[in-house]
This record gives sequence, structure tokens and C-alpha cells, in this order.
Amino acid sequence: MAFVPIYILILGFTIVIDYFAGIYIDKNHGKKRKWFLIASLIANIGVLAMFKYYNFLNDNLTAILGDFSLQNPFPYLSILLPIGLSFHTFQAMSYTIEVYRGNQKPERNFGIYALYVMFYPQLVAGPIERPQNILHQFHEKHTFKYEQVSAGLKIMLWGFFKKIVIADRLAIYVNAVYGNPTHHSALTMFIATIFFSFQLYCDFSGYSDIAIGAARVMGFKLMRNFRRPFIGRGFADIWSRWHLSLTTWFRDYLYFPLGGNRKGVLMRIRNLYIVYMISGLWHGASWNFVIWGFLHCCFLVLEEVFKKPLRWIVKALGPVAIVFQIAVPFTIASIVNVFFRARTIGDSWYIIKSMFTLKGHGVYLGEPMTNFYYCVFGILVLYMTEVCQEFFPKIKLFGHQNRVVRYTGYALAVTILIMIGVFNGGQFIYFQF
Amino acid sequence: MNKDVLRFFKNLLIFAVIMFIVDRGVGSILEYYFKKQPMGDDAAFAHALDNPTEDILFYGSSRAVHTYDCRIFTDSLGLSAYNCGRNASNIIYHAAIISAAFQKSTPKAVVLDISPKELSWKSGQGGDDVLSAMILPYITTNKNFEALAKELFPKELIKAKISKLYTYNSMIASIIRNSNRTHNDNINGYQPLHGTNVDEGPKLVDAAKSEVSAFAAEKLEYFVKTVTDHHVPLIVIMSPIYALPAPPTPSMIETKKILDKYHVQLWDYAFDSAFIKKEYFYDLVHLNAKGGDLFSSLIASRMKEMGIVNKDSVLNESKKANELK
Repeated sequence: MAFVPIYILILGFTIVIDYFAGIYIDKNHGKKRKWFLIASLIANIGVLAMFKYYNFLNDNLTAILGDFSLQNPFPYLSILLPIGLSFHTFQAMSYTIEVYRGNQKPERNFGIYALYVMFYPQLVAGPIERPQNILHQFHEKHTFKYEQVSAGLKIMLWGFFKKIVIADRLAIYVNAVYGNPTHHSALTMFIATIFFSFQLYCDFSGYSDIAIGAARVMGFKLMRNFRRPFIGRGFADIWSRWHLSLTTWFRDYLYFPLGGNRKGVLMRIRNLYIVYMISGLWHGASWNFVIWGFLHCCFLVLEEVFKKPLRWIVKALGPVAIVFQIAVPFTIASIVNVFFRARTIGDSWYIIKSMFTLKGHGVYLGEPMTNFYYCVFGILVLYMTEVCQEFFPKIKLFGHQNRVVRYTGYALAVTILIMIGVFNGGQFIYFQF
Repeated sequence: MNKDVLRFFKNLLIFAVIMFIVDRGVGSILEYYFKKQPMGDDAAFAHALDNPTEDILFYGSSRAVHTYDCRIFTDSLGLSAYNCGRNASNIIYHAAIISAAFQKSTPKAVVLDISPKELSWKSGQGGDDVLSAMILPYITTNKNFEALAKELFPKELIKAKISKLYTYNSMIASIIRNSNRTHNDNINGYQPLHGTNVDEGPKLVDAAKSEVSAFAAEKLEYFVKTVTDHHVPLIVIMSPIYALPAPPTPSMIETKKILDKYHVQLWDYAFDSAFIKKEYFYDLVHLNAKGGDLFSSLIASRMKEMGIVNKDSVLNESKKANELK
């Protein structure tokens, strides 16, 4: 990660374009409005395409032209991806789209509009806010309120716990295995794959919690980004709980305009594939991410197709069904996530193949071995907490009415954080997007 | 002042007091059990730091820990031996603990195992966290470590001074594990590795570009000087690595210069063809138990042949060294 001051101009460029686009969309009627919206979208997508996808497209062009013994005339650009670019361009686009749709009045105060795009807690990794939710809050007066400061700090504490105690600890194991897949057995790779799903979730939701909490401390309410996805029963349920600000963005601005599920089953499936593959590409300029999105969509469609037989199985299994409903999709989703984590398609394929052909024997527990215990401990704490939040919402620790219980909870969380947290874990995974 | 602000700071103060008590209380419990560990890395290290009274002392990284079997040296030379090496450590760490070797008695010989990139370690390039984790629990009892922490990890030192819990970060599982273990896989500091994970032939390792750290070079010189000043024979060994022979690295060249200055021998087995066999290696840089046994026997025989641990030779060596100085 590097700080390149000139890159602030990129942000400035899109802010100016979108600010004026919003005003002119509101001022004009008919086709003119559309042109201003298109100009805004081209500016945003253009910046994204230039910085995030140019070299990816160029590499592919080189490969295709190479097959015909031709040289690619376009140069490779040595550019860095500005941090959080995918997040703030999407947030900026949602503003002009909402103004165009008439759901949001244009913001005439330039400073407030710039704040909407650059609000620091969520600038680099979301949640990708909607103007209807956040813009009006920038006009309101915010004073120090004990309840909201306390609530914000509690959310932040849980976010730090997820990032420092769980995600960064799991990263040590996952990096060791994925960094050297040829040296590990099928079981080790399977464990690392499951661990990576937890790492990804805790890393990203940890950041979201810190952002939401920091905003709350200052009196701002940001949208929720995760709803305990690993307790989701089925793929559709997992996705309805995962990265909500992005999934709803794609739903509102891509899936619905494509026709959503109004034009029959086949069109719905087509729309889903488009959305999931573009969503994959949003995560990173690599075929790995496209395949990742494609595979997730495949399982989503399969779940939809086999809805009836699945219901019968659930009915036949009785109360035990819930375990399978949660565990099976989670395991499959984790295996698909290999494409998210592995460096190349070749590595991804090697890891998946190794898992299914039961390559090697034995299990690697990490170096030092005690690291593995911390990983398991972290996952158990996470699951216990989320199961309580989902099924037993009355059981609360940070939110308990009794002060002694509440403070014990805080002290316990901070103690564990200091005692087994990883304090050199590096940046958040989603910062790279 | 706003009522809410007052309430916030009041509760924050209460929480800070609770955390201070918890930190000191739990931290002290951890400290107690950390120091009482009967076996494991930390127990071996505690011996290396507090009471290394054996005749032959080995220093080095994991390459030393997994290579020098003290029992072979005892059998062959009739002298006690202890492996003071530590996993994931380097010359900076060895230099910090070498003075402990001369506090209660004087060893008859000191062996330092180095890697071809020993002097290329730089603070901030990785490995800082491992080194700081080794050092932090001792900053209150060992001045060398406190000074080292101050120089290399000033922020970590401050954190460790503020929080006792932080000092023992990530150690609770190993403390529990070591306290309940029945089998000790640490034999006088030696930890054998079994089997092999090497599945390919040796390759050329490109370490020629690695720069020499002046700080690491200074620490090597300190280590060498400390031992030779006590007139104790010092042998510096480059134990085998599973790689094809390569030209000397800048680190090796600098090491040689420092050793020549103090008339210390370098026994270079880094690319010794007799050892470059899969069956002797656990991985590319560590000998397994079989390789370790063979190498320990070789070193013990050479020490015996050269009379290095013979009392007279010790006196002669130190006289010679003094004359040359």
C-alpha cells in the first residue's frame, strides 16, 4: 500500500463531475437528463476501468493477439490501484442514479457532496452508502451523545476482535498453506479453505463494524453490511446476508434494470449470471474472480432448480436439517472461495483437485502449532456469538442490562484481544478492491 | 461540561481501572507460569539465559536447534553440552544472550551456527515480530534485551511496559501445553526433526544480492569478541543447506572478514556434497534427525581431532590470540 498524493485528483475529478451531474440532471428534462447521467457513469466507470481493468484487458489482448502471432500495440501501464476506488466510485454512481430516478434531491453544497463520497470511516472499504441514507445526516447537527458513543465503541470493539483475534490469526495458517500448496495434504488444504472463508468474513465484516462504529461515535448511522452470513440456510440466504451494501447495489442498479425476475425463469437466470460475474470482476481484475462469481451463481441456480426436492429432504430430516442447511452450502461456498484466495486459476484448480483426490496424508497444524488452537478458538467464539445473536437474541454480553455483566464482557474482549490478537496482520483484504 | 461527556469519561475511567487490574492480574499469572514451564522452547531458552554451565554451548537459529545433538558431543568428547539455539532467531538475538554464558562459569568451547544470509537481516524487513516476542518477556530482568528492544522495537517496548498481557501475547496456549506435557522433545536444547519434506533435487539459491546489515555485522563482531575476550575457543559453522553450490554471499564475505580479525575459524559445510541428500534434510534449510546425528558426529570428531576442547589447547589458543592482538 502506498500513498500517492496525485491520486487525490482522481477522487476530486469524479466528485466534481458527479456534483454537477446531479445538479444538471435535476435541472433538465427528457433526454438531456439521461445524457448527464451517462456522462457521470462514463466518468466513474472510466476511472475504474483505467486504473483497475486496463492492464487486465491489455494482458488478455496480448494473449489473444499472441495466438495470431500479432503484437499488442497498447503499452502496459505501471499504475497503482487507488485504495477503495471500487467503493467510492460505486457510492458516487448511486448518487447520480438516485437523482436521475427522482429518489434523491441533488446536493447543492459542494462540501457536503464531497463528504458523501469521502466520509472517512467508509471511504476505503464501504459500506457503499446510498444518498437517501447518509446525505441528510450531513446536514443535521451532531452533538456528543453518550448512548451513541457507547454503542459505536461497542461495535468497533467487536470489529477489532474479528479482525485482530480471528481474521489475522487465520491468515497466518491460510497464507502458509496457500503460499505453498504443493507441500500440503488434501486435509490441510481443506482446513485452510474453510479457515479462509472465516478469515474473509471476519476481515471484511470487522472493517465494516469498525467503520459503522466510528461513524456512530460521531453521530452518523451507516447501513449494515453483514447479517451473520455463515448461519445462512442455503446459498440464497448466505448471499442475502453477505456484503449487503454491494449486493443491494447490484440488485438495484443492475439486476432490476436488466429485468430482474419479471421476465421468466430463463431471463432471471441470465440476469443472475450477469450480476454475479460482474460482481466477481468488481472484486478484482482477474479471471479468478469472474470464475468465483460464476460458480457462486451456478450453485444459486442449482439451489433454485432443486428447491422442491431439497424441501422434501429438509422435511424428512426434521430438526437435524438445520445443521445440513447451514453446513453444506457453507462448505461448498468455501470451496468456491478457493478462486478468491488462490493466486492463479492454475493454483485454484490444483488446490480443488488436491482436495477431491485426497492428495497426501497427515495434517499441518501451523508453525508454531499453538497457532492452530487460537484459530479454532477464534472460530468458536465467532460462531457462539453469532448463534446467540441469531437464535437467542436475549442473551447479550455487551448489551446486557446489568453493568457488571456488561463490563465483564468488555474486559474479557479486550483481554483476549491483547492476549491472543495478531498485531502485525497488515491491511484489510478489501482495501485492495 | 455536557452531562453525557462527564458520564462517558467517568465510565471510561472505571473501565481503564478495571483493565489495569485485569492486565496486571492476568499478566502476573501468565508470567508465573511462563517462567515455571518445565519443558518446551521457553524452558530451554530460560536455561540458556540463566544457567548455561555446560562445557560446550551451541548458538544459532532453528538450524542449530535441529542439528546439534548434545548427547553425541558428550559421548564423543566426554563433556557436557547444551544447545542454546532458538527457532526463528539470528545473530542479533545470539549477541544479546552470549554474555549469560560467562556469568556463572566459563564454557570450554562455543559453537555458533550461521546461515549464508546471517548478516542480511534488517529490522523492518520481517522477523521483527518473532524477535520481539522472544525478547519482550525478559525486558524487565535482562538489560541486554531491554537495550535491544529499545533499539529495534521501541514501540513494542512501550506497549510491553504499559501492558503485562501484551508481553505474553500469543503465549497462553504454549504455556498450557508445555505445563501439561509428559514427553519432552527438547533434549538439552536439541530438537530433532523426523522424516523429510524434500521432494525435489537441490536448486541454486540466489542470495548473492542480499545486502549486509551493518547492525547485524556489529552484533556478530560483538558475539565473537565476547567469546574470544574470555579466551574460549569459538567455532563458527555454516551447517549444510539443501541447495546447489553458489558463490559466497556478501554476508559470508563479511562474516569471514570479522572472523579473520579475531582469528576464529569458519567451518563451512553449507554446500558440502556429502550432506546434500534428501534423506538428511527435513526441509531445504533444516537437517532431520538422521542428518543432524551425522553432522553432530562429524563436528565432534573434528573438534576432537583438532584438540579444540582440550584444556591445554584452550590456553594455547588464547595465548596465541593475545599475542596476535
